[in-house]
Amino acid sequence: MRCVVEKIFVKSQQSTELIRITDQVRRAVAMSGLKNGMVNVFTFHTTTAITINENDPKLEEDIARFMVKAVPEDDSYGHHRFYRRDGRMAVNAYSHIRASLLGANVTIPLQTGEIMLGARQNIYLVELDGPQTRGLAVQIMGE
Amino acid sequence: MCEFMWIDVHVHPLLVKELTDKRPELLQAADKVFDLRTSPQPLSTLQREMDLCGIERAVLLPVNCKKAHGCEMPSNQEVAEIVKKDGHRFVGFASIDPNTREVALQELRRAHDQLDLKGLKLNPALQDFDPAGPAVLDIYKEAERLQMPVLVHTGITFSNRFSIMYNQPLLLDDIARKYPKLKICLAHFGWPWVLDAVSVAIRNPNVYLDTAGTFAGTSIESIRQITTLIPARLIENMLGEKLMFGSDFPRIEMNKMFAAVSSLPVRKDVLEAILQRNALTFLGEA
Repeated sequence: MRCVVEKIFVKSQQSTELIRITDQVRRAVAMSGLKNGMVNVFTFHTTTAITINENDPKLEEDIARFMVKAVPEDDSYGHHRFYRRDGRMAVNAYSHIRASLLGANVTIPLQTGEIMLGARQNIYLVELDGPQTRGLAVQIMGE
Repeated sequence: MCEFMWIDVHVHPLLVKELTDKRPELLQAADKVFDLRTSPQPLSTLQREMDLCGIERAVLLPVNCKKAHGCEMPSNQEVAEIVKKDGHRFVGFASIDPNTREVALQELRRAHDQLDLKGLKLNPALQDFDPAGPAVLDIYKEAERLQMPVLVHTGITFSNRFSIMYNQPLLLDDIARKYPKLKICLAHFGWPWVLDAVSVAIRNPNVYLDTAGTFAGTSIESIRQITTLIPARLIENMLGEKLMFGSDFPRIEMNKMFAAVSSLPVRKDVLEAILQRNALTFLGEA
């Protein structure tokens, strides 16, 4: 079995949004040359998430809106203090919590060079503290 | 709110990827001196933040710490290059190290005459100088002559490697009186010396305040604390022509600070002055 990791970068445009990354994942898989196995898509950031869902723009907005509603910004979070590690106020506990609810990675089967997604499935980077440039790893394991 | 008309007077072009890629030592300066350790982002991230808030222009503030720490964060030249890329969106300020005396004066003139930088940024704690001391008086005099407004960091600097003695807003009161045509902005509301900063601003026609991150909590918590100390009516009646929107990006995201300042419980005309008109006056454009 071989293992290949490709990095991809995504520029988000909103503070909270779902960004389709399926095509970028497909390109990374094609570059690996591997045909059968599995693909893991992983975000390097604790205020983003990776998810798979139906590729409907309205649903994408619904999910983003739900995350905002589910974890309110204006609450009493322990994280919100001067954060020496960054040298600035930590002000985004809600973004971290939203990210934890969705998770940092997804795994997709790989067969004959194609990622096996359902007809309505899309892979998303979920931006939860944008806009920023974000880095992801696409790890392809197989042969 | 209308689109693309507001001004952010307090943006640090420090962890800009285009700059850190060319000059990686900026990362070390940001870490060891500016005390900021977030990942560099391309200039487009800042531009997108501005778009989201309807910010038409951002004032870029470098800090020159050559003598105290051997670094410029970033250099005046680098600020001028960013402005050149997008002159409609950015206003460049200069920074000089007051401890270098004559060199500082020459650099201020060069920044004005050759680089077209519009104002001066000073940070007494990081630059290790007394803002009311004799070393800096010639700088104020020259800035006044060149009609360059001065934005001075006041209030806390969280890193305890630097003294915050020189960050007290009251130190600028004599300077404001001595140079009445020099426009001075006391940044960060002078937090935690907020009432001191307000008193200097109220009694001196040439003194302004900005809302840039106060370290008093999240952006909304900071603004709430300010309005606890200074009732909205006082902001409307006595600071309505003094207060300017500043974010402190990238130490705080512009969109978070903008949302917080936009929630100030003041009249619409006062809020619009805070978000735009006062900055135009400070910059000499109104």
